[in-house]
Formats: sequence, structure tokens, C-alpha cells
Amino acid sequence: MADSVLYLVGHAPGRGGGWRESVDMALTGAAFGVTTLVWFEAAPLKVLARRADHGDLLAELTGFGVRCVARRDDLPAGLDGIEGLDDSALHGLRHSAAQLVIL
Amino acid sequence: MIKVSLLVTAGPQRPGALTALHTAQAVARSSHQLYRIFFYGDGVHLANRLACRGDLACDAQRGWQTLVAEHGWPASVCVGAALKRGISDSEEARRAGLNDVSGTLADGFTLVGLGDWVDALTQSDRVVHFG
Repeated sequence: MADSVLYLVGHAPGRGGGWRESVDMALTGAAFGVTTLVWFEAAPLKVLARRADHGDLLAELTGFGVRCVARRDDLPAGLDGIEGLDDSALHGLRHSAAQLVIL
Repeated sequence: MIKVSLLVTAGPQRPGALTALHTAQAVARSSHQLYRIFFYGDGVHLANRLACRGDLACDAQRGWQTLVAEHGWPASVCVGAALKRGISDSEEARRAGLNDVSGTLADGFTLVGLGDWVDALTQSDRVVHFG
């Protein structure tokens, strides 16, 4: 039974409903006490970095206790709230999470 | 016996929708329990009784809808994702003031909130995702 879940998110905000659905799924788990991590792929990071409201979008997750991570090389400057990790750290997160969901 | 849940985010046109169906059949035939099938994202189209888009898509939709109705599988469809894609049951259709109060949700499927996803996540021994 999974007590932690890692969501690998490739949807960018403002493009279809994928971002909203990914965020809703992560937030619901966190609300029920499931340890929730979101790993952003490069595409949403690029869009987030261009958006003036990226702080609000990320605060929605981090304010709810969701840990947000990304590959350090993919992480643009200025996206506070997302931890840049190296490949071995991301590999460790992937293995320690009870469940991985790719959205 | 282990409890198995499936998360289906693959739309009808994606091979994952049929793979998920075959997996559900295999679990149902085994000694293990099919605890919940949760449809999210484009996967909710599999529960649309009116849609038919192409060969692979039709196979996946017909297959899911036939087996869910016949076997009473615990098929949960996220209500938010479904309503965004024009899929509703009679209650939601009436609430939205739509004329077709019979809704578009196929028999055997149930509209639920995301809390049911968390229930599947926390109560199942294994969750398999098909995207």
C-alpha cells in the first residue's frame, strides 16, 4: 500500500487541462496525508519560467506540502520552490517512492 | 491474494487503453482482487457511451464498456475530468441543465472524486498506471 507517490509531470500550465489535472491529483493525495513529490520535466519548467504567475502556481503545490523537484540541468533560474537535483538524487527518489505516476 | 488497482490515463486511441483492458481481464481471472479501476485525464473517454472515433479507439471503448457492464468491475471515472470532456451521468447532466438527462456515461461506470484515487493508492497492494 503506497504511502508515497512521485508524479512525473510533463504538462505545462496554460496548455490544455493537463497541468490542472496533474496538480489536482497531487494535491488530493497530499490532502489525505500521502507523501507527494512532483518531478517536473523540462517542458513545463520552460513555460513556468516565462510566466509571471509561476510563483503562485508553484506555491499551490509547495504550500500544501508537496515537494517539487527537477533535474538540475533543466531548471531555469528564478523558479523558487523547485529543488534542482542531480541524476543520482532523482534516481534515489524514484526508487524510494512507493508509486510512480507519469502524467 | 493481493489487491490490484489500475490507473488509466490513456485515451481510446492509445495502445495503453487496450493493454490496461487486457491487464484488468488477467487480474479478474486470477486469484487476486481487482480493487479499483480509476479513469483520469483522456482515459475518461473510455467511459463515453456515445463516442466512436476509429478502429483502435472503438475497440478499446467497446471492450471496456462491455466488460465493465458484464462483470461489474469497480470502474471509477473522475467527475472533474469527465465533465470537462462532455461525459456525465444523468444526475450531473440534470445539475448542469442539459436536455439529455440520460447522460453519456456508459453502464457500470461511476463518477467519483479524486479521493477515490487516493483510496486506490492507499488501499491497494499494487497500482499499475497505463498512460
